[in-house]
Amino acid sequence: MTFKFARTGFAAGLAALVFATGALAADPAPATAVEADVAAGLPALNPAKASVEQIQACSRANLAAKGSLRDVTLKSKGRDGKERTLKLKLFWKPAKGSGEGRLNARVVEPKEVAGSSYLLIEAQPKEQLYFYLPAANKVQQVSSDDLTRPLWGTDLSYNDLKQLQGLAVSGTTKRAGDEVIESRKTYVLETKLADATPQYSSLKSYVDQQSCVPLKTDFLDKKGKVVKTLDADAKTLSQLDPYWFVTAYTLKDLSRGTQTAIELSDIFLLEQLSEKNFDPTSFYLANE
Amino acid sequence: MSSASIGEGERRAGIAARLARHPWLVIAIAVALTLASLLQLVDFGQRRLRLDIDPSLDPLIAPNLPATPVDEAVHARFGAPDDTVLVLFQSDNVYSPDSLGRIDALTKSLQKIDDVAEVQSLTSVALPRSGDGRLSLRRLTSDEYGDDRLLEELRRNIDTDPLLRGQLATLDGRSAAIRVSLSTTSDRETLESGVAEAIVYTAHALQSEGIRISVTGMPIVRDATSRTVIEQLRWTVPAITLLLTGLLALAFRSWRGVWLPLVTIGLSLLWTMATLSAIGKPLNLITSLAPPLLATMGLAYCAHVLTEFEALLREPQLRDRQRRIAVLLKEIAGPVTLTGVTTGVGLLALLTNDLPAIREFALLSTLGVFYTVILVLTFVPAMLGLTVRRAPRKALPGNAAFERGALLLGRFDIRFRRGILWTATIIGLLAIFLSLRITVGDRFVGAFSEKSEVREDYERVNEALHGVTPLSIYVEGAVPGQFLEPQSLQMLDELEDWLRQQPEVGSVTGLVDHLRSLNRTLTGQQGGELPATRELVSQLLFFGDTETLSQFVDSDQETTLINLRLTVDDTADIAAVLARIDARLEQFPRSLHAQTSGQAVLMTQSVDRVTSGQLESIALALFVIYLCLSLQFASLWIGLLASLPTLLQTALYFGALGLFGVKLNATTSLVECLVLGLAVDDTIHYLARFNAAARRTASETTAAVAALSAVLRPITLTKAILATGFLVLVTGDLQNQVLFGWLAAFTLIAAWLVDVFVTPAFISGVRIVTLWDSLRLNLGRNVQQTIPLFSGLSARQSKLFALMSRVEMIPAGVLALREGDDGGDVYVVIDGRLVAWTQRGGERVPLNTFKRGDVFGEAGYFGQKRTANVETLTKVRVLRFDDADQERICRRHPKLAARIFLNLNRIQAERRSRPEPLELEAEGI
Repeated sequence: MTFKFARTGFAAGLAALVFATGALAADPAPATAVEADVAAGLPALNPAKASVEQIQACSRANLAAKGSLRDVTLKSKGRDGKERTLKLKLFWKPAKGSGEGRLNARVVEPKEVAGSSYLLIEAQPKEQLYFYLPAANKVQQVSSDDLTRPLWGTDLSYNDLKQLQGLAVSGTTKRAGDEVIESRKTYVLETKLADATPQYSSLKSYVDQQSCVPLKTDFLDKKGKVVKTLDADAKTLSQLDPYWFVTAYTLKDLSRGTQTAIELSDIFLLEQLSEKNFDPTSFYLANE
Repeated sequence: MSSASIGEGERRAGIAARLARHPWLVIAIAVALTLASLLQLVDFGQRRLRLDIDPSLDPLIAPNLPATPVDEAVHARFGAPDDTVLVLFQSDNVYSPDSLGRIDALTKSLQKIDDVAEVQSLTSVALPRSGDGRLSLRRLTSDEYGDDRLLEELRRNIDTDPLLRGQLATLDGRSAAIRVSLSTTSDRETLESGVAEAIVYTAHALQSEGIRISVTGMPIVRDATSRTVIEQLRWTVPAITLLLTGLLALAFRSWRGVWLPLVTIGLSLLWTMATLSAIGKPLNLITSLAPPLLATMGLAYCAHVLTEFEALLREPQLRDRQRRIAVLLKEIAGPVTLTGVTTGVGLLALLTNDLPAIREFALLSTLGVFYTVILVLTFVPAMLGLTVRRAPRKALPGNAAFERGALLLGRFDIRFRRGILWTATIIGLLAIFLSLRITVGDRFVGAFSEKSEVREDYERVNEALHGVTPLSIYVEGAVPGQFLEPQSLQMLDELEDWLRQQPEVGSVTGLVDHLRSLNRTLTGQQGGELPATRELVSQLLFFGDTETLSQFVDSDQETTLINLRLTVDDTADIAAVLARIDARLEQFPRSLHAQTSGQAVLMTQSVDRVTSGQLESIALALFVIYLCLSLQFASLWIGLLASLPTLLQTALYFGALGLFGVKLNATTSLVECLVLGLAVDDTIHYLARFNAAARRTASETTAAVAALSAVLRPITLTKAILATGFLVLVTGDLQNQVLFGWLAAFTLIAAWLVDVFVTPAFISGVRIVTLWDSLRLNLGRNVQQTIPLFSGLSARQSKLFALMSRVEMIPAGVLALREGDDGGDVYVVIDGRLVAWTQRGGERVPLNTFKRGDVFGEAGYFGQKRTANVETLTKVRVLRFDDADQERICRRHPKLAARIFLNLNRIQAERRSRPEPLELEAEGI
């Protein structure tokens, strides 16, 4: 029996979508010279000499820096072989002035949970997370420090994707040579997490050398056994200048024998998106 | 049949002679087979055995139980709800800073162990802190341990949360539970990884003054069981061998009496294990009992053969070694083969058992018995022929005492025959009555003694957390989304309420508890109500933690699981609560279908299945033993009578179970079939001796004593060997093995008492005619022509009649009949000469002489007094029968009896037609 139930899910769910949309990664204030260079659209990296920091900054530069909308479909297959589909709309808009990322996730399907909404606001020192239950007509703010649990009947967890994206990874990353994934050259990055979770303690990421999009990530336990995998469908790798993105992923939880397919629409840039979508008192209303 | 048997006897004698002539050939074959076995069993390159050990308890669960499909469905949909390790931390106050610090340290230590998937404790789980529209899910940090207000609030939250209440900490605040999930997927993997042992070691290492730590859970109990069995296996065979070596040394006081049995059982075990290796089967928890059994039994077989050999060694006319071995083989081949067959029958009766492991045990042990019999009949005599040259001067140790004892016991048995048989009958009936009290049951943790760490920890956790034994209820709805409906949830809630009222149920957790907890936390419903609408249920489940909820409800909310922890672990108690739960589940409407599941259910059903086959197994074994005995005695009736002592032994075993409240389960089922096969061995040895002696002495009572005299020493020795071997098991840690040892020893001792007292008393009153005896009895040549009484009978009918009567030897110069005595017996002269005479005027007047074929005493047979004296002139062999014999022959062989009467009438008629009245009168006597 486990006791980590629903409450842990909110922050995690939203951040999973952050990864999917690439929204939060658009750090409003590049902190290092490398990131500044990459953000400024400087020449591509030299694969032979690229450092870990350069590769990470290159990845983060792929994430949208403007307000946007994406449709997401999550198809999860459980241990029992049953499939479940979840459709969401993701609204993204950075805050004026501070540039803090803000994300509104609104569930469209299935019918019983349609209207359920999340609001994530990037803030220092910690993000703010709100959720809305239409059946109870109630907004609640949530904070959690257990972000490794899978969400919404899928295999996604907040930390999986957050760490993968390099947003809040606390650990040591090193390059471990290059490999070819689906005929594309990749950098291999190994990250040993500072705060190992029971589920996994290190990551192995394969980052496409041309686009800096991670094409594959393995999640490894203490013994080095792969317990989860996230695979991008390299054929869906697209470019909306200057951003590269993938529209299909598969996440497999090898220990539970489950998997989730993530399908994303193209990015629709919405610069006039209403601020009400990102206000904790009105984010759940149809404000677009 | 008879010609075949004669051929068989001759062939056996031929084989015996050939074996005696070529001992080196036998040794060479044995060595070649042993080398082949070694090459099969040992990988010399890798320096390891090519024999796997499967330490899991899976073989103890019968396949295809009613609950098996449910269990498989539960595992497929919800994982393994049974497989959590519970670590109990007890102190004065688990919410004190010191206790929380220790719990955190223990949690972290446990998390570091390989194959530990997750550890949940007060300090590792993100606990809810809600209020003012904010929900915080955070772990306790070490700097909060001293915050009394925070801890008080936290404790209140935990104690009132429907899901957490009593799960992470008890309401009295004196016990905290740390739940450890493993990443291993089988018992075998758990054992090989050592994770369970590491958890126990790590947890107990943190125990200190004022802090008590206990570790339990199904993985711990199963791991400890497997580990103990393997440990026991390591020392049992050497211990038995060592102990029995001492016993053999004491019994034979010779080197050959020690090394030869040891080498024999060594070879037998080697061949058996090599065969197991060759067919690629692992040694499991049940089949691991085969080596100690084979070691014990092999030594007992050898003891029989050595005793016989030692007796032959002291026979002056058997100085020639080859002849001595040939005679030995002739003497032992029959009984050893028959005992091998009956032991095998007892074991093969277990093939009706539902447990694959028990069936494998039966086959493996039977194979071992087969190898042992082969070795005892070939290798042992060959080695004895090669190594023993001179006859010892001294008798076997204790031989004289045994002979004296046998004589006393035999006389006692004959003298108090009726008393013994009445006593045996009363005890047998009492045993049958007591056996009606037997109940079926087994315990998960009951295999360990009350003082063992495993048991103590289990009991402590069971008491503190109100239940350890897991049980699940699997509920299927009719359509997807059924458990989003408040009405369905209400029914689940009522079921949970009812379950909590059952005395054996310690805790209940299910979907409704999760929903209550979510409703409380996410919508602020402090009253603990269930969500009222389908939409709210859906949304609460949507926000819930996927992994946790996936253990209780499937992704389309069509099936759900209710997890229980029971305070009992005896399958009899579990069966009682299951029966009530099943009856309650029947009350669900048609749209819901619920069944119980889990290890407890499987074990309970398995014990039921195994024990219900017990009577079948025993009946089969007894029937085959009866057939063997019938064949031996060439009579279904005598076979049945000879089976009675075995029936008594069986009744005593079950009576003892009833008397001492021992429950019938896989272990106790195993003992009876096993011991039945072993116990009957000595009965067969005794009956074989009795047969021979009865033929030789022509007296059942004399034969009963003589047979006891011949077998008392070997059967006492073998029973002592077997009982001692099984008693080695009582020193182990597992109570079921201890019970196995005691029961086996008790049954063997009971069997010895039956063999020594009841069988001689019983058999001395039974006229036993064996096919072999009838063939061996020599009535002389041309029976039908030379003995008028047998005219028109076949040779076999003549011999059968002779043995249904009594063959008596009378020395020369003795009065066989006395004039004036009451008549009643008729005599037929087989060999020798007699004279009939009477007194006339003080003078002895000879009347007639009798020779082979003549009949005398028939006048008295028809109710008259003896009219003359009949005296033996030479040593005489006569056939004597009376009215009772005739009655018995009439009943069993009417055609034979009719012919005999016809012949008797003819003889009488011939007498009447003779001219001399004096002689005629005297001939009838």
